[in-house]
Amino acid sequence: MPDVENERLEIPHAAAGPAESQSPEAAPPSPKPAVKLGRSIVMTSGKGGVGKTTTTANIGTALADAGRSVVVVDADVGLRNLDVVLGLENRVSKHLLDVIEGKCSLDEALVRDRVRRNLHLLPAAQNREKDDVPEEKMAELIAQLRERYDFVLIDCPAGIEQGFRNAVIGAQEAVVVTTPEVSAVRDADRIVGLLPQAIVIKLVVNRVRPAMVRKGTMMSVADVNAILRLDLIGVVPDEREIIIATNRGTPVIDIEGSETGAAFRRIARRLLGEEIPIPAFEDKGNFFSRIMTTLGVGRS
Amino acid sequence: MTGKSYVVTSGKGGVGKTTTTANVGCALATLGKQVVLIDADIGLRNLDLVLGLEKRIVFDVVDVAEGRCQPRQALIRDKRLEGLYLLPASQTKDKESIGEDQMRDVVNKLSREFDVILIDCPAGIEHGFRNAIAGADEAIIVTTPEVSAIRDADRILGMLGTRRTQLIVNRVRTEMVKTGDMLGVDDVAEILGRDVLGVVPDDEEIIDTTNRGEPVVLDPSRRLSKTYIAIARRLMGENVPLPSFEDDGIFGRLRRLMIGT
Amino acid sequence: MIDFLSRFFRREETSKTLAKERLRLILMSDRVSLAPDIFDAMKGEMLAVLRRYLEIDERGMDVHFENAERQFALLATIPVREVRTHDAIALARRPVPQAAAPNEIAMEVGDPAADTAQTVEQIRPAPRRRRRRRPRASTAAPPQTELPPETSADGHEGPPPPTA
Repeated sequence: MPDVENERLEIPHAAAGPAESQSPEAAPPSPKPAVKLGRSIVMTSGKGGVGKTTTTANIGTALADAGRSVVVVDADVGLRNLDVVLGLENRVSKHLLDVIEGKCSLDEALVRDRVRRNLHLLPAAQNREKDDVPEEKMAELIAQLRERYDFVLIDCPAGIEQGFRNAVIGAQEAVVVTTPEVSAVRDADRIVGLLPQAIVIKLVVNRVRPAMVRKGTMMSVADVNAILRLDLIGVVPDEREIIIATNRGTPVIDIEGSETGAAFRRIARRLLGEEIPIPAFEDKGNFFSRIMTTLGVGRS
Repeated sequence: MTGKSYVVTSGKGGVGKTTTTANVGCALATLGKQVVLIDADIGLRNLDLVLGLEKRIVFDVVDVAEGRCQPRQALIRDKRLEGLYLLPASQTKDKESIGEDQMRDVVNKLSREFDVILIDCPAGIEHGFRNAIAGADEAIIVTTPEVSAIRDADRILGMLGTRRTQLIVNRVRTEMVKTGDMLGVDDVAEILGRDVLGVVPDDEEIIDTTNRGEPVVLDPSRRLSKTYIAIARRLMGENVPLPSFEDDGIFGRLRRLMIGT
Repeated sequence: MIDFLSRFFRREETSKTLAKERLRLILMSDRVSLAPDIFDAMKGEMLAVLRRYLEIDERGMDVHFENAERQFALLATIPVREVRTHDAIALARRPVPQAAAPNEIAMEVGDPAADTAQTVEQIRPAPRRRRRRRPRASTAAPPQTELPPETSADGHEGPPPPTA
């Protein structure tokens, strides 16, 4: 089904050879040494509801618009929502677990986006449990996907249990999504501590309300990153458009005039290597000393 | 006395389980109940933070479950409110370090000394979730009026067995409901087929109060304070009418003022 | 044409109406996928009713839910070997006094020459209908129900009424 002829992203790799990848814990050697492997990125957070799924869907769509071949993988077994956010819920028949268990081929499970030919979805199973997915099989599947797509975006479930471990296993990169709230930042900090050493981590701060930051009732992005100390690749403002977009099942980047959508597009471009400055949504940083002392100064 | 235990759950993360647990707990305490709040989100604890009690944690629920201390030793008494206690989660262990039987045991022990036990459930449907519901008599499902949240809530409903379940619809934006850009409370209740225990409007106050660790209920001048008190009253069986968001004129506001929501 | 019209009307839809409609379909699909035993029970009862009228080839049968655009449908492909005679159908449809019974139904096998009744599937306990005996060939079926099995080429035992 996916007939992807798009140009592959130029990924800098160490040397030509059987295995080409960015990180030491490489995928199993590709049978065709000339094939460049795509990038696998997990969107994670620890805290639920900060916008991982929305981020996955929108960045995936934006990357597809930029001409890349993209597969978005819903790793939230039992509580799938990536299909709903993309409006593809009634095209789902087979899912990730069916593929892993050999009940169907990858092509049968992949769902093509309605608008973008080069964007595909690999849905999660709704009626199974996360423990049903063996980690090694998940890693193999992601490796397989990397051979076919420029980008493999993995939507991680909330939490730190098996679901999280499965989502992370195949990923070379991680985008940690947080909101400027104490619980979310604390959980993000925890999640960073649980990610493998070799994984490349970037930060997205979602649901920023500039007015509240100005008033001093919300942490600024500077406050957040003073604690997490990660490579920031995006700041996304909070907007009612997100709710409308999810109601309709269209990505928010398709809503005219949406600042949130524009922010996601910029994040996609930064992932592609473009250097775009992050717009100053708020005026100044406000420090919440209580949070600082509670959470310590980042991770060791 | 045998207290009643409620699990506050949702399926979807980030819909407000922890803030609901904290605020409903505080509200119940202001109504004179002896309340203990249990943080069942082991490894990703946040109830302590929302309550502003994070600096006073010594023992946690895993210590109690493994017999390293008595439940009483692990409980943190809230100094601001008479009758409110917190049993915190462990931050460093993971959810496999406690089992369903142990949770049930802890809740049973506590129910001898408390009127109400609220269990803050982690997001998802994995071990953490199953542990949290193990000790619960009834369930309070928190959802927002959004497609993913409602879908996950429906899934959860299927896993709660024969327990009584009630809904709290959180983060309702009245203006958006009016313009047809957000599902209304009636829609949500109809779709999920459950009674509504409470409706909480979307309000910046929550973010602010969470940052400070001062639950909204502690300050009667805060808008949401009345909302949570009404929820607590309904939970205890009082017949408090739900707010109607239909009329927002002067009479609507007067009505709401009189009802106390 | 209908599609065009529905697309036209869709523009008038608020995102909330759309969300509600989508949720309705999503939840149907989710709930159905979560209860395979209930699905089997439903399938069994459906077939029991169909067998009053038709002789069906169960091996070629396919029953499943399908999630299409704006529609959630139960699709059934059921190969029909034979449509029963008027008499047989009338007999099968005649209301009969109810009798308590174990939760099994005895059904006729496709082969006209069969003498035996065969239990097809277990269904939740339901009052069974007693079928009037049809004066026909000998029956030697193992009594899997309280009634003597009455099978013949065209007739079969009345199935239990569908449970609520």
